[in-house]
Amino acid sequence: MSKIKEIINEELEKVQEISSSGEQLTFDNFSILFLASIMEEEANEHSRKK
Amino acid sequence: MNIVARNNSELTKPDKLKDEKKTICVLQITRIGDLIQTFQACETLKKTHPEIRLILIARKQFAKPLDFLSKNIFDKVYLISSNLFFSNEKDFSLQDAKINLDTFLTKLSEQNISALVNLSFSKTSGFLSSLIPAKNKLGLNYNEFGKPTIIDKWSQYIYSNVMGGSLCGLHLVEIYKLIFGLKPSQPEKRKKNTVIYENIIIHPFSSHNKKNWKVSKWTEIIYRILKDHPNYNITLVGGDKDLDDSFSIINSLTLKDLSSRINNITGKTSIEELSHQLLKADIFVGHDSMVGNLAAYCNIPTLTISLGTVRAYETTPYHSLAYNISPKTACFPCFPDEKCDTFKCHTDIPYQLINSCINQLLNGESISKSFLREKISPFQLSSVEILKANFSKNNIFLLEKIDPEDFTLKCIFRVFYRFSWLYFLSSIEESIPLPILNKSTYEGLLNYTKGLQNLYELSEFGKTYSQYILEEISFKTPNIIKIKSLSRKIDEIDRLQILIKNTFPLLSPIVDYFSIEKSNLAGGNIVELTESSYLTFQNNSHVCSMLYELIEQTLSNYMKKTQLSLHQEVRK
Repeated sequence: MSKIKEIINEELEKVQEISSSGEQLTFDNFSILFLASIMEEEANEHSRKK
Repeated sequence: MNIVARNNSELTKPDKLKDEKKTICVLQITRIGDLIQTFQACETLKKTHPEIRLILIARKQFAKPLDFLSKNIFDKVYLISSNLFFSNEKDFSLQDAKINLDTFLTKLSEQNISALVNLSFSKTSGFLSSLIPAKNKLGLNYNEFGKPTIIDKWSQYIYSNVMGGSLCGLHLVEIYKLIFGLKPSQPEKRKKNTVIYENIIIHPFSSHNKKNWKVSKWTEIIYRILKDHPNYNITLVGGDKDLDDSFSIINSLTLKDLSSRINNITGKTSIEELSHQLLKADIFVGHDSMVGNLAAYCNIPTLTISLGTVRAYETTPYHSLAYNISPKTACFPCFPDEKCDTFKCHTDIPYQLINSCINQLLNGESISKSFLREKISPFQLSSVEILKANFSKNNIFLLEKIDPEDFTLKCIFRVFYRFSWLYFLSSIEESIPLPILNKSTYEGLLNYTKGLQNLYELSEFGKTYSQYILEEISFKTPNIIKIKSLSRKIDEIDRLQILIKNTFPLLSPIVDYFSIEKSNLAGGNIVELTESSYLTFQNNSHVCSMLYELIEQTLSNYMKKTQLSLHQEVRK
C-alpha cells in the first residue's frame, strides 16, 4: 500500500502542476485527485481512531 | 453539467428514459451523525416524491451500520471505501486502482442519474461528484481547471455561511430539504412514547475531545441523577474507543455504591441495537453526536450539551423534543483546526444546571422561562444559552431561546439572517418574533447600521461600475483601457468589503456569501459575466436592505418599549 501511495503522490504533484499552470484537467487527472483524496481521508480517519 | 465526467451515452437517449423514474443520487461521505440527518431530509424527499428513485453514495464504515434505516429510504446504496479502489496485493498498480474507479463509475452511469446532490462539501466528495455522470449537479464540484464550483444557491450558502461561520440560524436538515427544493414540512411525528421506563440514556462521549466534557463532570451528573431519582437507572452508551472512559465513570469512587444502577453498554451494541435501547428510554442526555441524532429519529426527548466546535443551531437533534444547552463563551463555537488548551467553553456550563434541567424533564415538566428565572441561580445561567426546539409557522425547525430577553448581538444577527436568507434564497417569509434588545445590544446594533450602510453603498458602486463596463462593451470600438480601469475598481470594491467584514464581523455572512456567488458567476463571455456581476451586486444590495429594515424595526421596538416604561415611571 505504501508503494502505491508513493506513486499516487507523485502523480498528484503532476496534476497540481497542471492545475496551477492554468491548463485544463482531464478525466484521468480527476481520477488521481479523487484516489489521492480518499486515500488521505481514510488514513487520517485511521490515525484519529488510534 | 458533466464538465469532467465521461459522456454517458445512456443519458443522451431521452426516449429510453421517458417512462423511467427520475433518479436522484445523494452523495454524503461524512460521519454517522451527518448521515442520520441526511436520512431525515431524504425521508421527506422520498415521501413527498414517491415517484423518484433515490440512491445514496456513502462511506462504508459510516453507512453500513445504518443499513436498518437506509433500506427504508433509498432504492439503492453504494458504499465506498479506499478498499473498493485499492488492494494490498503485491502487484497492485495505479492502473488497477483507476480500473476499479472506472468500474464503479460505470455502475453509477447505468443508474441514469438525473440529479447528483453532493451534501458533503469535502475535497473527496467534490472530486467524486465531478467524475460521476449526471444531468444536473448540486453541491460542491470542481471545474475543468480544478476550481471549486457550486451552482445552486443553498449549497453556496452552506459553503459560505455554514462552513465558514457560526451565524447560520437554520438547521442542516432544513437546508438539505431546501437544496432538494422541498416545501418546508415538519418531520412525520412517530408514535409518542407514553410508557415510563425509568431509564435515561447517557452518551458522555463524542468524536472529538473538544466536543465533550471530561468524565469527572459526567460522574457528578450521574451521581446526582441516581441520588435524586432512586427509581431510575442509567444506560451508558458509546463506541469501542470510549470503553476506557466508560470504565472510569462506573468505577469512580463517587459512584461506588450506585454502579449497580448503571448499565454500561459502551462498545457492546450495534447502532441498530442502540436504537432499540433508545426506544426503552425516557430521555437522552449527552453531547452532540450521532446518538442524539438517532434519539431524534426514535422520537426520544433529547438534552444536548454543545461544546467546542459544535454549531447547535445547525446540528442539534432534529425534532421538536430537543433541548440544547450551549456556552456563551466568546470563542464558541470554534473550528476543528483551532488549538485550544483552556477549554473555557467546557467550564462555562455548570453541571448543576444540567441536573436541574434533567430533574425538571423527568418530573414531566418543560424547561420554561419561569422555571429558569425562579428555580435556577442567575450565576448558573449567566454563561449559558438554553434553547428549545420548535417549528415556526412555516414549518421550519427553530432552536429558540427559552428566555427571549437574553439575546446576545450574535443571536440577534442569527435571527435576522434566518429571515433574510429564507426570503432571498427561497422567497419564504419567516414568521418568528423579532429579538428583544437591551441597552447594550441596542447600542451594538446601532453601531452595525453604519457598517451595513457602507456595505450597501459599495454594492451600489459595484452595480454602477458593472453597468459602465456593459455600456463600454456595447460601443462599436470599446475602450479596453477604460474597461480594465473599471474592472480594477470592482476588485477594489471586493477588497473594501473584506475591510468592512473585518471591522463588523457580524456582517461576514453577507460578504462571504456574495464572494462565493461572484466566484461562480454564470456566463461564457465578458458581457454575460459582467451582467452576472451586476446581478450579484444587486442581490448584495437587496440582502443589505432587508437586513437594514429588520434592524430598524428591532431598534424602533426597543425605543417604543423604553419610552413606554419611562412614561410609566413618570406617571408613578
